[in-house]
Amino acid sequence: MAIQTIPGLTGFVYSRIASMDKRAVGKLTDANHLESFHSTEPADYDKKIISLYTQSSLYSNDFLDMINKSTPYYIDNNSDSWKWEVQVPCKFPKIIDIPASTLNLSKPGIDGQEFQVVLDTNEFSKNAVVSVGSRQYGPRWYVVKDPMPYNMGWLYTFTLVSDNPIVDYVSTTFLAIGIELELIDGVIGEFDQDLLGLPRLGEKIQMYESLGSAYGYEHKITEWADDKMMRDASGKPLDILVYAPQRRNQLPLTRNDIKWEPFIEFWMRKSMLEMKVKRMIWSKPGTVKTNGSKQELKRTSAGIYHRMRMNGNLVQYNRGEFSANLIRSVFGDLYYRRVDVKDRHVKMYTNESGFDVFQQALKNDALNSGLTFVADSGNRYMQGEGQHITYNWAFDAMVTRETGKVELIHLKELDLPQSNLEFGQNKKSTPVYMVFDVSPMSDGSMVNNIREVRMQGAPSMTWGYIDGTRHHLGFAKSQGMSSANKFPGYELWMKDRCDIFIEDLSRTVLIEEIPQI
Amino acid sequence: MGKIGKISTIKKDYSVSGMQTMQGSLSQRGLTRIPGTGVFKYPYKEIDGKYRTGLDDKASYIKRISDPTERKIEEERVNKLKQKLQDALGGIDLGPRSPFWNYSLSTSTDDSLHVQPVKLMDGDNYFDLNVPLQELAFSWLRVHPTIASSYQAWERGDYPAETQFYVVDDDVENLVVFKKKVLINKAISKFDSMTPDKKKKVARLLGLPVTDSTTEESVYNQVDNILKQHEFKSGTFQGLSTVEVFNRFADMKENVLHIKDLVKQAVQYSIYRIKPTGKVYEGEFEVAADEDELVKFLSDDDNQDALLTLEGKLKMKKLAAV
Repeated sequence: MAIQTIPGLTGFVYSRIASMDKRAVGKLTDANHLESFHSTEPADYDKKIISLYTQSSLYSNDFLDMINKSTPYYIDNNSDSWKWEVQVPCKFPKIIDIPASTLNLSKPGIDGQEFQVVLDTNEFSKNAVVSVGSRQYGPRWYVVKDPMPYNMGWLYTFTLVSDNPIVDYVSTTFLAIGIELELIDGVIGEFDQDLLGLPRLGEKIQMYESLGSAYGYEHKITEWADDKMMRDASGKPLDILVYAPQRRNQLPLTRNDIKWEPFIEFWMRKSMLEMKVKRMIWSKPGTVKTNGSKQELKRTSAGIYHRMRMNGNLVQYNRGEFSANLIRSVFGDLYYRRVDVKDRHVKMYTNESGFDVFQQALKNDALNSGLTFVADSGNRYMQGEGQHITYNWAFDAMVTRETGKVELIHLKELDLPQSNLEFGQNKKSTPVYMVFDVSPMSDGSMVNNIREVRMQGAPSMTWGYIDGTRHHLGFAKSQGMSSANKFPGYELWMKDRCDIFIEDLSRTVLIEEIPQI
Repeated sequence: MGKIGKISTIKKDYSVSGMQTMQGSLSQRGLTRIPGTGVFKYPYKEIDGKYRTGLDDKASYIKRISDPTERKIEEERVNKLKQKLQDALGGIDLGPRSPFWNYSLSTSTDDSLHVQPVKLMDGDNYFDLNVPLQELAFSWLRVHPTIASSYQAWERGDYPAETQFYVVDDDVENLVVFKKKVLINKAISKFDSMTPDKKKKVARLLGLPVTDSTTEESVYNQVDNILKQHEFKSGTFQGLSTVEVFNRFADMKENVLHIKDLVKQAVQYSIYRIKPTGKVYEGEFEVAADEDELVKFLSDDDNQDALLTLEGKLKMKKLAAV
């Protein structure tokens, strides 16, 4: 049977386990199970293993390396939840309603006429002058009296500030729900005793989050299976393939276990790490109940992708329409008024197709910028001569006033195989850009904005063995052993409970193609 | 006051699970996302390369509107709006394949020859529809697949549960609901004026469980209920407008209606069987290629004998059933 091929990826890794027949190893290994992996043995081809130009790795751990650099957050009280506060950005007071008395006026504000508007706060007081809609072009309204409570807001009475009150009135453009107002001036006369009040205080919001459920694996091995030596007649370990983790540019992972247990234990640890990374990135928030609908309620918490997508800054563009200008507008918007131009710096974590799209967008932008690129510019664009010229240019970073330096970093987790509905047109993973921290204090990585969370009493995963009539360390340890039960073999299990948490989602941006699914 | 377009966030209840979650704590404060964050929207490009501009009367989302009244209202509205905006923006092409909608062609953040993104924030996002560029933005946002066309549409399940925004456009909703109600009321009034016999025939043809012994009140209630459902949920007419199908039968000539009803009953009482191919059989003999052909055959004056025979057989079957 052929290896299941998933296009678009490179490398072929093998270690010593798993036949190629899609059978899961599952939770139990007995003697028949092991034999069935090796039941028939055709003659060896002269190259035993052929490296196909295809995918066999299901895991890369650069994400884990990155998260490990952040200090984990340990919950140290008697709760599964934790809390924190976020500051609410400052907002201008806004018109939320216009009473009928004002709507009925044909020329509101003409000749000193009073008119009323409902705002969402009461921070403007009598004698204040506010600009409406725009500091530059908007009219100025004078607050005639202190505001009164009005449903969900505050009812204000204004007059129009005008040099020509006989003809001037408030345009309907500025009498609209959603228009924002800003305090510009206070007008205090000789006999006035009402000075202005100070504006509202800053706001904070208390937030909560709960640790999600645990995850784990188990596997039983019978003593008959444990007795078998997985080697051929000449003593060499039997070849068994496994879809095993491998990092690019590293040698393939190999194991040379003759016994089944060490391999299973090794593989279980790897699977724990794989699952940890997958749930930390891709898990969707929700709840489930054990046995369907009757028993314990269990929470699945959100991975960083869903946290960024649902609660952070999200940009979804049409396929084929990624551009340098998109980056300018998105990060320009985020940085504007927050970060000095000299301190702006964006690190986008992406996959290979993200690189492709980014580089093409930058080329297009450069070619349309009005600059002339001369081929004969040293070896900048072309190398060699005659029939041996290498065409060679691409951009992997850009600097604009709006964004500062924008650079890409390859997050290989985003290049792992996608299931069939997700394939892009070119069969690569669809481009996705994750920006973990745009704040100038950060280096753009996850450090201390995205952290692992776990209980202080369980700072890492746990694992153990339930020895039946066979000790997990083999026959030698099974003489006079203390058995937990009479299962003819032993069982091993691994369990962990941890989550991922983004402290400040407003520093993150997720850029992706709008899904066509 | 100028007309305002509004797109708001869909407030969801996260208290059901009883767990302390970030979504829950945002929701308690009336928020849906972390303060200060937003979603950048661009006009949506269909697979056929056309943009959903909200200004295209041939757009596939308009073609998919099953209710003809609603479809017509939307076509008229978008045509008028497109003309108005094109005039206001100096004759710029706002057709669904115009490069105007391709944001990647935009050369700067203030390029007015191409569409600019809109950042939707938590809460209410207002668009002053007296300002052409804001009206333009509102026009494509209100047909964006990630923004529900109304809160009711999201509640009905017309959009994915995770949809975060909806269009608050009471005028359009009201106009559609008003026109639908007028049509329903007209249909009910038409039904009211029919003879009891015709009422039963129409009800049977609509697929309702009506027999000779069903009371007139029951027939009325069943037809009234189905007309108010807007569209058939199941059966032969699934997905079609109930008023449209009702009118088809109500306006039918008396003799055709009678024969159609007769054939329908003949099938119900197993005189005829309709095979999956659509062919009509009596026992082992093929009677007609389909139901319509049988109706046509029985309507022909030359075949009155067959019609009388069928009426007789049906009468016998009904007696036997009693």
